[in-house]
Parts: sequence; C-alpha cells; structure tokens
Amino acid sequence: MILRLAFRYSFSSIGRHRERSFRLAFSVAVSIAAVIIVISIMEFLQEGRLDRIRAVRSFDTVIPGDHAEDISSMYPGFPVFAYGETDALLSGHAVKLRFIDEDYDGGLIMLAGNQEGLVVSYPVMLSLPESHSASLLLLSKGRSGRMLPSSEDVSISGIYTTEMGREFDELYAFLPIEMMPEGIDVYTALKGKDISSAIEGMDAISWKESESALYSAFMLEKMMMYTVLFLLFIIIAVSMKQTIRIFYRERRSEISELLILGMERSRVRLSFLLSFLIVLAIGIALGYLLSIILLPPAGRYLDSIFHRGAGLSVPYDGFMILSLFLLIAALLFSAAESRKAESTALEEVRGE
Amino acid sequence: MSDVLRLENVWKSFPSPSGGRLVILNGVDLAVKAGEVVSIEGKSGSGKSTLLYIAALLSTPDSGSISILGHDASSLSLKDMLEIRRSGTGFVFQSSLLLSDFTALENAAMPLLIQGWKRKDADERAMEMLSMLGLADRSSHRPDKLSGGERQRVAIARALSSAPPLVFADEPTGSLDEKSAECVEEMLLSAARTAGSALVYVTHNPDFASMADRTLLLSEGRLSDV
Repeated sequence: MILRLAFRYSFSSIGRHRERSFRLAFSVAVSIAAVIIVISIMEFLQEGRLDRIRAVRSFDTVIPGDHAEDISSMYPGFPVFAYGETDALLSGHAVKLRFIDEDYDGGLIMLAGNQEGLVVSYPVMLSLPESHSASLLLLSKGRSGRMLPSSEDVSISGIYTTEMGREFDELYAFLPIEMMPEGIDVYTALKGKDISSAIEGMDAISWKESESALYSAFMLEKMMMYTVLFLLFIIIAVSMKQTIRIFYRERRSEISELLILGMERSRVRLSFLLSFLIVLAIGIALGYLLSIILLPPAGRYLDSIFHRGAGLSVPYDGFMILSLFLLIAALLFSAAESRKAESTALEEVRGE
Repeated sequence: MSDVLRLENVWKSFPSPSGGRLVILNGVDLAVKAGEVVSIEGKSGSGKSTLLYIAALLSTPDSGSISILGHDASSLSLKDMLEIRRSGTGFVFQSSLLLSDFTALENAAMPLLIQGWKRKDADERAMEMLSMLGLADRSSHRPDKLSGGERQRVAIARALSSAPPLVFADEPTGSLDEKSAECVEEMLLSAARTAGSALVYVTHNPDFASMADRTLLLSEGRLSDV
C-alpha cells in the first residue's frame, strides 16, 4: 500500500511534478557521475604521484646505515636495498645521483636514453647499453661544511624522471653502489610497507615524514577537490529541498485526504518520503551507470597522456558517502516539509 | 435504535477580526440514530460545516461533549480516532477531494486498502459501488478526466465503500450544476440507505434538505427542527 502510493507519487503527472522529478533524477545522475569520474581521475593522479614518491624519492621506510640484511630477514617479501645519493651535474642536468644496489626494483620513466618514455626497472636499467658517457661533477661535503666539487667520467644508461608533475619532478641517474665515493651516507630502504614506528632504535623515518611538505600539499589538493565536490552536492541538495517543498505544498489536500481516510501519519510520511527516495535512487543508479560507461574512455585518454595503464575504477567509499548524504538530506527535508504540510492540511480542508 | 452520534452543548468560536471572539456554535445538541438520514440546513456562514467537522472529529469544540459510535470523543486516543475515521465514518466534501494520481476505482478502493483489505477484494467492492453510482465505465479514469458530478459520485463511492455506520457530507452538491446536483443528491441518499449507513449532510438547498428523514436548521449557533 505504502509502496504503491510512493511509486505513484514519484513520477506523478499532476502539475509539473514528473518534469521536476526527472530533472532532479537527471541532476543527481550527472552529479554522481561527475563526482565518481573526478574522484577516480584525482585518485589515479595522486596515487601515481604518491607511488612515485614511495618508489623513487623517499621509499616507504628509510633507515640510516646499511641494515639491508637485517631488515630483509625481518620483513621477507618486501624489496629491501641499500643506497646513497648526492646532488650532481650530469651533461648539463642537475640530477640526484643515486648509488643503489641491484635489489632495487626501479619503476622510473626514462627521460633521455635509448628506451625513452618507458617505465624501466633497475635490472633493466643495468642491462641497457651504457649510452651516455658523461662528466660527473660531484658536490661533496668538505671540512667546515663547505661543498667541494670533484669531477669523474662515468657511463650511464639514461636520465630518469619521476613524472609527478612539473613542479615536483626531479631527475635521477643511477650507478651501482659499488661505485659510490666515500663520504656519502648509506641508507637502507624498504618498499611497500611503512615500518618506521615498528622498529626502534634505528631512527627509521617513513616517506610521509621525509616528504611531509609534498604529502601535505597533496592532501590539501585532495581536500580542496572534495570541498568543491561537496559544494556541488550542496547545490543539488538545495534543488532537492525546493522540489520537496513544492511537492508537499501541492499535495497538502491529498495529505489531509489520506489522514481523513484514517491513514496513520507515519504511513503518510513514509509514502511521500519513499516517493523521493525512489527518484533519488534512480538518479544515483543512473549516475553510477553513466560513470561505468565514461570511466574506460577517460582511462584510455589518461593512458595516452601518462603512458601508464590508467585503470580508473569507481571510488566506492566516496560514492557511498555522497549517496548516503543525498538520501539523508532527502529524509530530513521530507520530514520537515511533511510536518509543515500535515499541520496545515486539515485546516485547509476545513477552510480555516 | 441506538445513537451513532450524539453532541451535547457544543460550543465553538473563532477569533474575530475586530478583536474578541465570534461565537459560531452556541450550545448545539444533536443526536443521530443508526441508519438515519439527517440534513442540516442553514445560511451561508451559519456554521454548518464547522458543526460537521466537529461531529466528524476533524475539528475540536471549545466545550461540550461528543459521543461517536459509542465512544466518548474526549477520551479517544489518536489511534482510536484513526480507527474510527478508518472504519467507522466516511466523509464527502463539497469540492470532491480525490487523490489525483489514482483512478476512480483506486480512489473508491483506497479506504478499504487503508483498512487492510486485499487489493482484489477492495477493487471488487469499489467496482460494486461505482456501478451502483453509474460509474462502471469511468472506473479507469483519473479525476482530471471526470466531470464535477462524476468526481462527486466517486467521492460518495469512496465514503460508502466500507459501509461505515456513519457518513458525513459537506455541501456535496454545492459546486455542481442543477442537473448534476439532483443526480448526486439522489445517489448519495440511495447509496447511504442501501449501505445502511447513517448520513448527516449540510446544505443550503431546502429541496435537498427535505429529502432527509429529519431536517434541522442551524441558526444563530443553535439547531432546531424544521
């Protein structure tokens, strides 16, 4: 009975209600699809950047000194390696020169070299012909904190970039750790797990600590994006409130009729609430379908730009939160408007 | 026969635009027996509709007592009141208030569905009522496709579909042309008598008023026999 009333009222052809319901469902669908796609792209971009921070710039956990064997035995299955790095000038480029052992699994984009544009792992890097013969200008700490230059001829397979975005990018060149000059500090890196708080007495730091400014900037960017999306939903909520208000105003006499026929207030309220929830559910489902249709081409487009498999997926957390937000808003608006309508419905019938 | 409705010393006033209060009902007494048809006549603004709404528990008096279907209205809980509205009374308004998204059949079946009838049984009973009121061929039409007289007949079918012991009608033909009004008047009385329901209706039409078993006149806030 309640469902029957609700279905009938959802897309009632009386007045302009059907048009308003379709408009509301459509705007909810478009908003949901927009939010899903934007969040999905944003997460893809941010995940890519964060992955690169963890893969190249800082690694998940970094421990001063060479503890590779100890950490490997403590966390089997995770890549662990020793490395050292210093700033250098290489063929006119300012680069981070990283001396790294062969357990490093790479994951960088070759910027210049014979495999340009490819994502390569370190073993692949090592197997590549040494195409760049360059004069390396090392800057090392001398006495009294002064930086002392020294020059050395080296052969490298290429210069690599992180591709995190122009403002965050750094160039890297790699050499085997055996070639590392004295005076450069050695670190142990673990990828894939933040164990900084799990191990004591080793001064381990996580990638979030070592890249705190960058991490905060990403989080701020994310928050701003969510704020903009939230504002979009506020606009939808306001439009929904307006539709609900008009609907109840137009249906006051029918509410009073149902009450006079002996229907409980709670059932009357539920009927009208369900009618809005049906419209919303249709809008949400359509939005979900629209995003499922649009995500693959968006992924292919990103892939053509970033050259890495952009398998965009529905961010279910965000989708659920926003859907819930709309449903709760409909519930609250409907409850408030039905209360108002009920209080005046019988008076209107009585002509008071 | 027992009274299905009894009003004793009922008073009702409204705030007056010039301040103070305008007394509409001035100690009204009314008793209606089961199956009895009672009309209340009176000038426009005499308080006929107000009296009807109070009697149907759709409004409350300032003072006085109401007994409806053996229940003292002052001691009724909201749930009991709903139960009386659901299965004890029917109401026909001047402007046929119908659910605009539902067909004539669905409107007539609505009180039965609210009472918990199965849809098939409710539809059968509603169809019986519509046929009795000459609307069998209009059962699938929505109110906006019906004439004023037809809408009012649907409202009568709805009020009487569950054969409630007591039916109220507020100027049921007030918004109809003369020919439609006559048809609706006859059908209302006939349907109420067939269903065995007591009927209390208000009208300012003396001819329609005289069709009742008993006619009362509301004047200066008091009821008197005509």
